[in-house]
Amino acid sequence: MTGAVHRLARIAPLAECMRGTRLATTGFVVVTQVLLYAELWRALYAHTAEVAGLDVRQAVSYSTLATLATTARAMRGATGESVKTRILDGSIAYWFLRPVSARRYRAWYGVGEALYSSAWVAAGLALGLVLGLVAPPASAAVAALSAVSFGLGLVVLYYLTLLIDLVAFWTVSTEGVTRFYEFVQALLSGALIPLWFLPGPLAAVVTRLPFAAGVSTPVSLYAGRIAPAGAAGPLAVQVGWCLVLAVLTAAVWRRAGRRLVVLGG
Amino acid sequence: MTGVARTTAGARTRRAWRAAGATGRAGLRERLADKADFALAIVNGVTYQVTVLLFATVVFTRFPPLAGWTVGQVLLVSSVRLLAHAVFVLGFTNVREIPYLIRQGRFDSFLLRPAPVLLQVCTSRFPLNAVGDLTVAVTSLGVCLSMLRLDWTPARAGFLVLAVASGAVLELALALCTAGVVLLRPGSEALFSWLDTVIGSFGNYPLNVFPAVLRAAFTFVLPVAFVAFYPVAAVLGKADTVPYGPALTLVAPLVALVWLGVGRWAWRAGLRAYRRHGW
Repeated sequence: MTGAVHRLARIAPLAECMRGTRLATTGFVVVTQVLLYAELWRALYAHTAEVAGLDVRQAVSYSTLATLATTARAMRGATGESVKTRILDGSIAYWFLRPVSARRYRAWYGVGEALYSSAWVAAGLALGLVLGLVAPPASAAVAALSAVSFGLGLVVLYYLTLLIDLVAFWTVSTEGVTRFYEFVQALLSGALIPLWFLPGPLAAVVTRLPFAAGVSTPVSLYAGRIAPAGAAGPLAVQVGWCLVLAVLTAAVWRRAGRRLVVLGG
Repeated sequence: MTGVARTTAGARTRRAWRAAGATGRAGLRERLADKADFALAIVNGVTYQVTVLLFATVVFTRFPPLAGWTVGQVLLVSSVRLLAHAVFVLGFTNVREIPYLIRQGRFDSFLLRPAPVLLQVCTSRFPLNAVGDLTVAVTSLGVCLSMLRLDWTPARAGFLVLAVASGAVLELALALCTAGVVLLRPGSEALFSWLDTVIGSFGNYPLNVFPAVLRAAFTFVLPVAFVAFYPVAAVLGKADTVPYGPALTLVAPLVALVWLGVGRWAWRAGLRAYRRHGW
């Protein structure tokens, strides 16, 4: 079993690394987007010292980390394994014929995807620290807590993306629902705008949703917006969402397997 | 002889348009197959552009005026960019779907049919998102024009129409350049979303707010500033405030045409070099 797990987790990173062009493009996209957003925030802060309790250095750190986290994740889309594409060409049948269940196959494939995107985040973070775009973590505790939170965030994001993808078992086409999810994710995760820029009551609700668990919570911990002493609550919310979404996706997988449509032939 | 050639060319164009009409209608029927997905696709055009506008709103409300441009004036830059983008989406958004068309094997079948490949790509899927994109763009333009209360002369109205048209052509040209690179170098398809993000995020602001290196990059390397900023400066009579001289506010249509030429060359080079590699 361990061998199978290892081989499944290797698929996504190997597929991404197969072409030098893909690696070069990902590097180009990640670096240029980080630098462009950093310049945009610096430009916005040109005539003001602090906005919503955030100074320019914190804003650039936040923007760099949030851009890294979202861009690196989006990059694996080209080789991404999904129910949607497998349903369209009928190869979804193989997911249900293998000795490993479809659910486990997708999960271990997802581990590989997460490790691959995390490698880009780590490389980007190292570069950001060298270039002075990201402030170093305030203490070892902050570094450790934000790393744990980042890991939990990856699990939450995996389940959310999977839930949307599983809709394809019922609708075949998930174009609309996927793009709608991407909009909600971009808006409510804090990837686009730090959530504390939103009006108070709205921010209070949004920070407790699973979308915020993906980007906003780990980045807020790193940037010092959530103090290590107050980290237990946000981390518990992340763990809670991991559990809820795990139970929910397991139930959806069971139903999906019972109503599988194989197209083509 | 010339007459015969003209008739043939005319017949070819008519045939191409008939084919485009038929595939367009088939595309619409395909999108209508799942009613919920159909409705969401329209909503999505709205929601995506709303995120962009929301970001801009946070910027306007939380930060001081941008480089001497009022909120209404900056909103006109965003609105013209949105409208140009909506026009581009209406006709050519499927150029960005080429990686998926290749993956599904559909692109290869386009190469074998007796119709222009670009026409087949553009009509391969009905651009439902354009409905939402257009709605947001027109609303945003209406709101900002009512805020600005400009004196409308034929020249000013003409500049506005030209600004939208050249913005749409520039987006098409850059998408064609990207398509050329993607066809030539498999694995580079992430450049499409990169282009979308860069134009969508950085085409909304007066160029003056950016540092010198970005001002130069968005003017002379990737012409993001010509999508909306420079022509809108002409509409607003702010030509004397733009970087690199007021003449640039008048040349957006020319820049768009030059880039369209580059895009056409890149597309053809990409098509010639394209080999099915598998994914």
